[in-house]
Amino acid sequence: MKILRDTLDKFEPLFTKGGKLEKLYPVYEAADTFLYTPGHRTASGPSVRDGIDLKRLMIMVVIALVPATLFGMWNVGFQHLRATEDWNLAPTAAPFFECLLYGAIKFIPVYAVTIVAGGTAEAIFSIIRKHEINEGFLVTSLLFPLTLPPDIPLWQVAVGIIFGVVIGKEIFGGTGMNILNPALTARIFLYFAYPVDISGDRVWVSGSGSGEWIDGATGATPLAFFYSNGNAPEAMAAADSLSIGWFDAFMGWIPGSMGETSTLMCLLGAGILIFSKVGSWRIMAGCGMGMLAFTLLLNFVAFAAGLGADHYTAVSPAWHFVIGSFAFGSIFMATDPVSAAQTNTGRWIYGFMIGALTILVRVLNPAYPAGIMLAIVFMNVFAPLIDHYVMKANIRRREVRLGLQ
Amino acid sequence: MATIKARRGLDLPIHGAPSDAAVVDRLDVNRVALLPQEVLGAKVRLLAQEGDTVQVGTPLMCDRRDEAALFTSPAAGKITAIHRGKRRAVLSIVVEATGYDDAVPFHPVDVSAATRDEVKQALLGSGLWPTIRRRPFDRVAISTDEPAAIIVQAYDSSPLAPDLTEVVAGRDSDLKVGLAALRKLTDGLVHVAVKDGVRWGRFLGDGIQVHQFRGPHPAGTAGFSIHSLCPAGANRTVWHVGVQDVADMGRLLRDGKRPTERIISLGGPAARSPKIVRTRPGADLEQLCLGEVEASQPRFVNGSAIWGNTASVEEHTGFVGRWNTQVTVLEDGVSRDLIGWALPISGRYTQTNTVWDKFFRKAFKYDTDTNGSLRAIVPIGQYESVMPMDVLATQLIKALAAKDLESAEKLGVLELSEEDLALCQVVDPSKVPITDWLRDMLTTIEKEG
Repeated sequence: MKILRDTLDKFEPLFTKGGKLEKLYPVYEAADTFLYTPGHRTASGPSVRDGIDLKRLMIMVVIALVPATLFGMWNVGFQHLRATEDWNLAPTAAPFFECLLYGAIKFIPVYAVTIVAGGTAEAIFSIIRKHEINEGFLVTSLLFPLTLPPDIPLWQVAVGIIFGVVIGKEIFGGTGMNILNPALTARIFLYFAYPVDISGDRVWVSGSGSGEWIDGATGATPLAFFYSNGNAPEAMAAADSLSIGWFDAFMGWIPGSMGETSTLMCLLGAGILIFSKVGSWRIMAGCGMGMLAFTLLLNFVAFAAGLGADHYTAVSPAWHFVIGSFAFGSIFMATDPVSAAQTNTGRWIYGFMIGALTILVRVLNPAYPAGIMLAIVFMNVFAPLIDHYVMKANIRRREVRLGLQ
Repeated sequence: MATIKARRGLDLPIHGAPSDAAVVDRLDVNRVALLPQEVLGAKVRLLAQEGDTVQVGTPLMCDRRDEAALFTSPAAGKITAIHRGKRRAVLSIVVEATGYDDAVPFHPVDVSAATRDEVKQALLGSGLWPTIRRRPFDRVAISTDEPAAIIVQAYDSSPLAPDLTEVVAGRDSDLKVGLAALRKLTDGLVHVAVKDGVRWGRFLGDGIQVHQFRGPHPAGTAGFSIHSLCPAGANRTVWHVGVQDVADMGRLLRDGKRPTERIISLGGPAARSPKIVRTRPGADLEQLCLGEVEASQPRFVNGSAIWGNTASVEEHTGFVGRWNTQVTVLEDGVSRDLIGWALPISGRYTQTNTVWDKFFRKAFKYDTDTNGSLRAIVPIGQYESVMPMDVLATQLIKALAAKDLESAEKLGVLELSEEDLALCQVVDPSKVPITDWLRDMLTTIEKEG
């Protein structure tokens, strides 16, 4: 391994000040510190430092996403198999590796395009702005494909991620300064720019355009069912006809985006994030509580107004928890530390509002079933305001202590 | 005797704690020095020249910002060197000691009968005044200050710090006089901060209170004590002083004996046999640590690994610092590890659970590796998790980064010193220079009044 180190050291002068490729230093730095720990010594401040750095932090989020990714790939294959061969195929009876392979063939190109297109945009900005290439993109580039339907055209992926990286992050100054979650910005851009390929009942299962589907197959997600049928028992009955029960939705073998169907896998990811102290449990808990509180409120309204158990406002919190991408969004998207609220009190409020807004958009807004996406971006924008008031309260306490008020 | 608890913080699991509480005599040091750069922003006026023969207590320098407070020689002997650095800043005034008994006479003061001014003048002239520091700005107390309170710090929770209660054991009468003297210097209270479980009721008195502190570091730091007991601000000055210095003051005022001994802990991952030593104030670390170090490239730190300053023999600052109760020795030779960021076991401690060594190891041989390179701040709540004060750490640090003077002041920067934000910098994954920013901000605020 000494050869590798020697090679890197040999080329270093090319990239440092005065070297021929001085402008490409961020690229060299990224490669160098990717392969080796930087080996810097503490020059000022504390003499010893914690073992964590941004690389490790971001890689932890990627690890937390691995279960959802692997399950998502399998599910893409499984849904395809159901739609093309046997609609009532049991998940356990499906050929495991065949499903995984099919999903991988769908997922990996999308992921690769995201890395190449987004990574290039990131590198260009780093070179122009002379800052290091930031590890945050590791997470963005995995989150984004997971929120996409399997048959998304690759050029849209490229356009989407470039938009997300540039508009969502780089124009604010790069990782650490962004206001919006870049992955979500990319996803929302596609949602509004190319709705045909990313919404409706046909896109969530691979192969709809090619006419391979058997009769009776539908790509509709349970969320869409609850939503369009507008009343719960019918929706559930319809869901039953799709052989989708609560447990299926929880496990995630239902149609949906590539990586966000499985609540179980998301919870596994949440476990990793919370255990490693990388993700904010306050935001996740806040989201859950907001969702629960607002759903119960709607349930109560449905009950009080006599709408009965067959109205869609009467859909229980348990269902809201497992359908759509509530779990994925509140665990992986809402907890982006930079675009979320940055005070502990603020994190609770921010999470709670996301949960509540998700249900508000889902149930009461007829145009957008995908509530969590809009709720998070909306709260991203409001996070600085929440922090501002938390700060105000802190400042006031300090002034009172000092006898200024 | 209320107990005050730090609810957040971090006890660094650092290797190299003294195994034995017994104090080892290392009084054989014959080179000592003053380190003027410790006094932040000092404009040094030398009161003695190279080659002068001095006694214990001979004034060596003063700070032109407050000339009443003298900095005196800790030993009798000859000034062999006055080292200067950039812009001729005085780095150290070195005295080659011939003895410690030949002292400038000091007339004892009867503290109970003395006026505030008498106590003040006695301390200012004795060289013990600079042991008192003040917030805001964490600089040496100004002789014209009217402190709202004085904190006596008798608990140091820093990693590898000695037990300060043990350090002043048997010096009750010195301490009582010292506390009484401090009481004379303020219209407010004198607060004594001790570790939870220490019974120091005997020091209670008119205007003197004892408080117990517990919890992880920084439970036992002046910053946390001040924040909990009497927060400092633009219009409120608070002084703080270490308990060993208070005992020294007491001894000086009672018996007229100038302090020539200081108890410190000598430890750290690169120390051969960590111990508590009784040595001389300003002792030369080269002499003190001879044969005590095992490292390819040792780094001496004046203070704890968290907040201490590097003491460098090459840069002529390798002497025990004025406020110190500990010297930490670390390995300074760091290596570059292949894909170090990916391995779940790396031999390093992290406050997060991303590296798993902490689950099967109790103490870590820290070196001076930053363990990462400089990045933008990604606030995952790491600052808050080690900040026990009612200070919004992330927001304050961002205000410091942006040089936003107004916000920083509102968010409490005036209460703080490097020591209080050092832990934030230790746990920071972005490796940003928080304490440097803090000092820049404080300097700016002080200048602009």
